Amino acid sequence: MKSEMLRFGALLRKETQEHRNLLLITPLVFSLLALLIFFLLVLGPLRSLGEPALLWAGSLLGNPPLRSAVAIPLMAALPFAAVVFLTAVIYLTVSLYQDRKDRSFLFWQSMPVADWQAVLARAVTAVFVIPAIFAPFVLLCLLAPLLWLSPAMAEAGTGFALGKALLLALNAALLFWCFAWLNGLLMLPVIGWFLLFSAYSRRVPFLWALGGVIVVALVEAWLLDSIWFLYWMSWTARVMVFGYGDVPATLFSYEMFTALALGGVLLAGAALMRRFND
Amino acid sequence: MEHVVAARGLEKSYGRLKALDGVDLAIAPGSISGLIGPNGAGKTTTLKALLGLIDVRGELAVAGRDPRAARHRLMEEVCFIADVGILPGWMTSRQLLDHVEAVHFRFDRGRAEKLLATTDIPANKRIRALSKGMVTQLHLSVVMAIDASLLVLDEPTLGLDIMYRKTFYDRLLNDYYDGRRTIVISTHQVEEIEHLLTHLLFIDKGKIVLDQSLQEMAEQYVEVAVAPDERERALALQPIHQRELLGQLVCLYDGVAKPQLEALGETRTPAVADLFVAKLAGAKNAQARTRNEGGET
Repeated sequence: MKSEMLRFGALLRKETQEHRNLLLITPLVFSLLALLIFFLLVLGPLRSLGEPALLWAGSLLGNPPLRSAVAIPLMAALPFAAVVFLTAVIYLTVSLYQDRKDRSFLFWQSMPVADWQAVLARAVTAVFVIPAIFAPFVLLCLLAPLLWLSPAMAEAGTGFALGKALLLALNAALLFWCFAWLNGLLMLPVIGWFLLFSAYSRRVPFLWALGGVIVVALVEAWLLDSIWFLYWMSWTARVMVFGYGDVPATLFSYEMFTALALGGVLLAGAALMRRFND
Repeated sequence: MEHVVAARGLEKSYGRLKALDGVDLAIAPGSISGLIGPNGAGKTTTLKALLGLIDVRGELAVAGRDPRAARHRLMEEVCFIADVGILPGWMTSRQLLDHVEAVHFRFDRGRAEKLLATTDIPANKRIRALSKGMVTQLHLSVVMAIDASLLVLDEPTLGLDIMYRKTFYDRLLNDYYDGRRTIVISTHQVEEIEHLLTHLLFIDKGKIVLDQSLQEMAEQYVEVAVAPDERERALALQPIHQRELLGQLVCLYDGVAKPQLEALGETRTPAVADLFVAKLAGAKNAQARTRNEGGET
């Protein structure tokens, strides 16, 4: 068991090493851009407006309890969620396809690693590892402006000081990571879908995956005269954007069960495709 | 004796093309078998079937397992080198060793490092920046550090210069082969591996056309450089192949008594390449005869 865990850990490490440009440089560049824009458009004007603006910010961040106040930095981190999603889609699209393209597929197949392990490592990377890589960047991006604001706000008597800034940023970053993998689990069918086409297509896997979505929606509408598939897609998108709600309730919901079941089937399909599609 | 590879009636088709057409194999442990055939004969398909990389029909057991059922379990006992360039280019050789060490429990990192120390391969350079020869050396070092019972090599020296090719096979024979391990090599460069082999497998159009140990081959097939005044007698004995070499007739015989042939000229064991050409030409002639006979009737 321990050795199997070690093996799986090595697969996750390999994924991060192989896609380090995408997985590490993307959050770095995005963080720098986000900080620059935030300082130029929000924090600079806020400080220049002086005490009334600081008191207003203090009423939002300093006065309410931590549980309510954390909603604001969390909303500020929302653009990161979109970048996590895009990063995961790009990663999933190329991950299995790249192995066949550069012919390293034969080398990976010469290792005692099952196809399901290789596919699962990709899914775990998308659901847990990518948000975990982004979380420290989110923390830094939230911490920097809060730390920058806290002395002026404390001086203005808002009750917002360094300690609260740290707690807020840490809480928001942790919640961000938590919601990100929760959404990742809800989107397991999407992950399975992209991996399936990454394992299948001989070129442009993204277009194949996108075309597949359109075909499934059309076939459903034609054969079953329903739009359940489109409904499910829109529901997932809604959860992704507005789903910062009750974690345990989401985790044990019917939607989560459906997502895990359907995602599991698609991941198994991707493993089979990887096995036979050389 | 249990065979390392036991296959019966392997069949594989790609559309209308039959890549494997009833292949039977029985490879003994400790042997070095050469799988030799022209382009498109089914060599790579056969090896992929043995490794569980493609689905085939027929009975198949490799190291006591069915590769189709559990490739990853089989890979704990079987190593594989395809033609050069399948190592991931984004990795450094150190990262490669780290990864193999973590996923392959029969990998001896110390041995791999010792083997690599005898080469010029830098630990921190990306594989894509190494020459073809270095990549092959790196792959061979990794494979030689794995305690496997079967090593499968598919055109392992393709595209390498003669120095690297020679080093590759020298290291394979001197540092890896111990009489216990089994090696299956598929290559076009028959002359380079002839001295390594203990067993020959000729494949053509998805069928095994020769399956023999080198000792059996030497007993069954004899090549004669026919003396000028013995040409008629030599041809009357129906050689399976004949050619002119510097104005002298050279005939290859299958199953003709050696004393009888010695009277015709200088006899010798045929080179594998010559036997290969003879067997394939023979198969083509036989097919042509069958077609003609079919046409006449």
